[in-house]
Amino acid sequence: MRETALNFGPGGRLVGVLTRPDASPSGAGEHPAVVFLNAGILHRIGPNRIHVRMARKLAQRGVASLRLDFPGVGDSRTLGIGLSLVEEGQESVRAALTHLAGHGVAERFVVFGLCSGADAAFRTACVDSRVVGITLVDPTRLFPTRKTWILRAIRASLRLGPWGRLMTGRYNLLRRLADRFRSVPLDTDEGASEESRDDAGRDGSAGRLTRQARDLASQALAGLIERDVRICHIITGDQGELYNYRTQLLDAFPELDLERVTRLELFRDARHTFPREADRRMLEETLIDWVTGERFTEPAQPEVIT
Amino acid sequence: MTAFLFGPDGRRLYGYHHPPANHSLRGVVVCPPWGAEYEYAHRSLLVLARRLAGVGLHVLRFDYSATGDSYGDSDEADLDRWVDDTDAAVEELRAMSGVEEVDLVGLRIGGVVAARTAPRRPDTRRLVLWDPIRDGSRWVADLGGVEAGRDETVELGRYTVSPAFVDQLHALAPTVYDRLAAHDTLLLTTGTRHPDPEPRTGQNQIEYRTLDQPRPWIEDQSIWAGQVPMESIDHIVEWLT
Repeated sequence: MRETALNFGPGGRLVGVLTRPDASPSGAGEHPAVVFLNAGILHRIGPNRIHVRMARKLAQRGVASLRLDFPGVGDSRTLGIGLSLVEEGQESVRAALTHLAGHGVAERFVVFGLCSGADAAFRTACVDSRVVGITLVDPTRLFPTRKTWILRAIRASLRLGPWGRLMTGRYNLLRRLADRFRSVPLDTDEGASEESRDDAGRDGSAGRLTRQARDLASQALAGLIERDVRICHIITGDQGELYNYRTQLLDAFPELDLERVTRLELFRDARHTFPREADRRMLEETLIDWVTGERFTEPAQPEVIT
Repeated sequence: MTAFLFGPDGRRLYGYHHPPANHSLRGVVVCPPWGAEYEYAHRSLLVLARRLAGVGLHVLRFDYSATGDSYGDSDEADLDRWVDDTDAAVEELRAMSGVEEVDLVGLRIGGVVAARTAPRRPDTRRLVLWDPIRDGSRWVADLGGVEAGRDETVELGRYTVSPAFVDQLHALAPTVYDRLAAHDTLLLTTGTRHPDPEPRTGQNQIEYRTLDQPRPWIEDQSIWAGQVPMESIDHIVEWLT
């Protein structure tokens, strides 16, 4: 395993650490290289150093990877070219892939992201044909279905605490039912005014996504499926309120052939930032198994989709 | 500004050099915290380094072995080796920049590392101990204590470490700061005055300062990272220059 600190991109303003297997001189191999994106504003090592661990274990299996800092996060400086934060992020990933491809590390890439990093990975895959796979861990868009809410209600009803409060008169049943009713997703945007939606397309009350946001996601996913981009979708137990059964993503987009390209994992006992060693190992094993075992598409032309 | 790896093959340490705009013979090596405290405080140390470079100092931030992007798994963390790593970082900064004097800034466990490294370095005159760990056992408890791990490791503060490392932490006491007689020292405490005993630093010049500022190594849940305490940073920059 060999590691190199990279200063690249416009004016060398971007920083990343490249990890390559020992086996080949360039590090290029049969597998795509993995690019780890920042989780929130934590620097490139990832929470509890999970990116470093995964990078080194991937290298042992012949897979190169880059731990990238977005502009203005970790050690990378902002690009200063008048782009928005999101656009600078996308530009930095594009620059990273170009740098790695130009140095013979890989021609195909898997982009890994946790939380907001998952959102960025998804956006990158939508616009860069060199991305042949994405690993999304707890993306911020979770698309609950009716089954999600039913399971949530059933599980809530099986908890002893609320029953005890109800029996002792300390439970406001009517208010709870009203809250629950308000949180059930509707098939239309009724009740979600433009003013109450945030930029994620959620309405302000229950964290649910609007029909418009779902349709946009469906459209983007359809584009990925058409390009045969592989998706490893991992959800932790911390998302149980909005994602609580493994195949929820498939049910959320029944119009798409997602099953063909998607590996779904639900780590019910894991927390969002993987503070437990057992969960970190599970994440590592899943990623390594998927990257080394998945049939990714052959190298694409280094074309950027506009 | 450059990211690079230094040290012998197989034991490479990650470093980031912030050069000043003009020629300078003075430098600073920043000794970071450990574990989640480092993750949360990373931005504050970056801002500190940029400010110091902005006033004319060469600055090197680096990761100890078995932390950050440096070599080694977390269960290889070793406080004694981190002192060697800091020594190597000072040498690296001298070699790459030509500085003749290298001061040390240590945050949390980095304060311990800096205090242990300083007596080795005739080229270190000033020392900043920023909320240094003074009572190792209390700190281990604050991190949630130790849980049994796999393969003779233990879990501490969301990291897998060796029992030997935990023993090193338990052994930390204010006496770690006893040997600083030759150094001008700033002891910066954030928030209210720490209830632990003050470090005893012998006969050297020591400035005690407490600032009502956010603690950068503690997660602010609105941003999933530590806040950047600008007043603390400005005070360190002013004191060093």
